[in-house]
Amino acid sequence: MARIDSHLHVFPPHSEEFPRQVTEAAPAQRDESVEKLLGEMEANGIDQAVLTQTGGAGIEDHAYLQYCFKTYPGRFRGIGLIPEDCNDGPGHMDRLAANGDFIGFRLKRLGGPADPFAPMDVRRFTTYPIWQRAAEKDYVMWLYLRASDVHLAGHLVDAFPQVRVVFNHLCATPAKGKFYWDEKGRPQLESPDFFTTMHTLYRLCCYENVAVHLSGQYACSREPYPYRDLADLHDRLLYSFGSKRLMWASDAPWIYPDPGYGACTRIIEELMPAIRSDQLDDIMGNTAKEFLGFPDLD
Amino acid sequence: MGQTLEEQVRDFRELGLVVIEDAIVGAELERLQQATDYWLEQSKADWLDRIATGDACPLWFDVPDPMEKEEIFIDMLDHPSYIDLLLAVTNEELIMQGPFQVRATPLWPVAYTAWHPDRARSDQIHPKMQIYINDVPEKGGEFAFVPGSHLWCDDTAYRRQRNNTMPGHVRLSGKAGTAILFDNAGLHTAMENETDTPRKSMIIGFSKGRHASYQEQFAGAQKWCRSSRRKQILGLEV
Repeated sequence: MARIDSHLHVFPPHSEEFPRQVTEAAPAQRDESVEKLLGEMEANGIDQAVLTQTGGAGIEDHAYLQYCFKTYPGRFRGIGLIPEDCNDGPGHMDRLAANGDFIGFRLKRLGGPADPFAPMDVRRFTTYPIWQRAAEKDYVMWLYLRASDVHLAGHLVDAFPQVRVVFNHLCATPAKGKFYWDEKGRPQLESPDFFTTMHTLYRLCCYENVAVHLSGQYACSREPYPYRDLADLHDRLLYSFGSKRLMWASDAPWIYPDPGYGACTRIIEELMPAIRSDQLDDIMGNTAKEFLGFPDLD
Repeated sequence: MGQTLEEQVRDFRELGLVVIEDAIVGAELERLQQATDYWLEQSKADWLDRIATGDACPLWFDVPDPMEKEEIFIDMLDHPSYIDLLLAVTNEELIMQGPFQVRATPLWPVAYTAWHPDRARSDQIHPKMQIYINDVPEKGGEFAFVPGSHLWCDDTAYRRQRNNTMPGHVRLSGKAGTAILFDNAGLHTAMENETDTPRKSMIIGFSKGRHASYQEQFAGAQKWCRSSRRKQILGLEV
C-alpha cells in the first residue's frame, strides 16, 4: 500500500529565488525545507505527500513548491492558492497547474451571501468561475472554510457533483475571534463547534465527490496527544464518509514541536483502535492515492 | 372528522405519532405567524454574528428566548387542541423538558438533520410537539417519522443515508397550524426542502414526571402563566 501524507506545508527562508510572505508564524529565516520533511517521512514510512501552498498566493510565491516537484518527481502533489483580489482566477489556476503537479486549489471563502436565507444563486458567488474551471479541468477544491461560509459549501457541492472536494482538518471551520497561534507556533481553534459541523459539512457525506482530512487534531483538541476527546468525532467521520473518503494528514511543519511527525503518523491507530486494517490502509494512503491520483513509485 | 382522544392515545402508544390538523387556526395562527416573523427579523443580525463566531449553526435559526418574547408562543405549550392528549399520554404528569424552539430553517441542498431518535428507548415517555407555522408542502422540509420505531429503535446514531431512503417512513406535509405529536425515541427527521420557502415551526419537548424544584430558566414566562397547570408544566409551581 501507499502511505501518503495528504496535507502539509514546506517553505524555505525568504529569498529572491523563493519569495514568500513573512509572518509571525513564518519569519524570514524560518526554514521548513522539503529535505527536512523527507527525512521525517522516511523515518516514519511515509512515501508521498500533498504540499499545500502557504506564504502567498501569487504565481511567484509558488516557486518553492515548483522546485520540490521538479527535484523529487512523483513524490508530491500540490495544492495552490488563488489571490482573493485576482480578477482571473481560472487563468491563475491554469498557469499553476500547467505541468500537472498542482492538482487543486485551497479556498477559505466562497464569496456568497452571508445570510443563509438570502437567495442562493451559485452563479453569483465570486468563486463560481473557480469552481467552473475546476469542473472543466478536474482540479480538486481544498476547503478550509471560515465559519461564516459553511452554509455556502452545500450549494456549490450540489452544483458541481463532478468536482472533487476535500474538507481540511476534520471539517473544522475557524470562527471570527477564535483563531490564534499558541506558544509553540501552532495554529489553534478555540472551541471548534463540531455539533454545528455535524449538521452542516458532515451532511455532505451523501455526495460521493466529497472527502475529509483526518488532521489538525492538535488545533482542535483541548487535551494533549493523542487528543482522545476527538475519538468520537473520528468514529463519526468513519461512519459517515467511510474509509474510502477519509485521508490522514500531518499538517507539518506546525506539528514538529508537538506532538512530532512520528506521533502524528500513529494518531489514527491511537484514536480509532477498533479500526480494521483495510480501513487503516485507506486512511493512511490508499484513499489519497485513488482520490488525488498519486502515481505509483518505483 | 378528527380522531377521538382514545384513538389519538392509541396511535401515540402504537405508532409513536399523532397528527392534529387545524390545531391552530384563524386569528390565533395569524398572531403566531406575525410574532414569529417579527422576532426572526429582530434577531437576524445577532444570529449572523453568532454564525461568524461559530456560536450558531447557519442551517437553523431559533428565536432567542421565545418564552420571554410573546404570549402566543407560551400559548402553544398547553393549547386546547392537544392539551388533553398530552395529559392522557403522560397520565396527567406533564412537564416541559427539552427544547422550546421557534425555528426557521434556510434552504439547503441536504436536509439540515439526519434520521435519529433523540434518546435511547426506555419506559420513560417523552412526547415532542412540532407545530407548523407556515404551510409545509411535500418536499418542503416536512417532518418525517418511522411509525412504530419508538418501540424497537435502540441505536441513537444519526443516520448517514439520504433521508428519502429510510424504509417505512412517512412524510408529514401539512398546512400552517398543523400540530404533530411524536415519541422522541422514534426515528424522525426533517426532509429535504426543494421549494423556495423556508420551513418555520415550533418544537416543544415534554416529559412525564414532576419538576423537583423551581425552574429558574423559565421564570421569564411567569407573566404569561395564568393557570396553575401551565406553571406546573414549566416548573414555576412545584
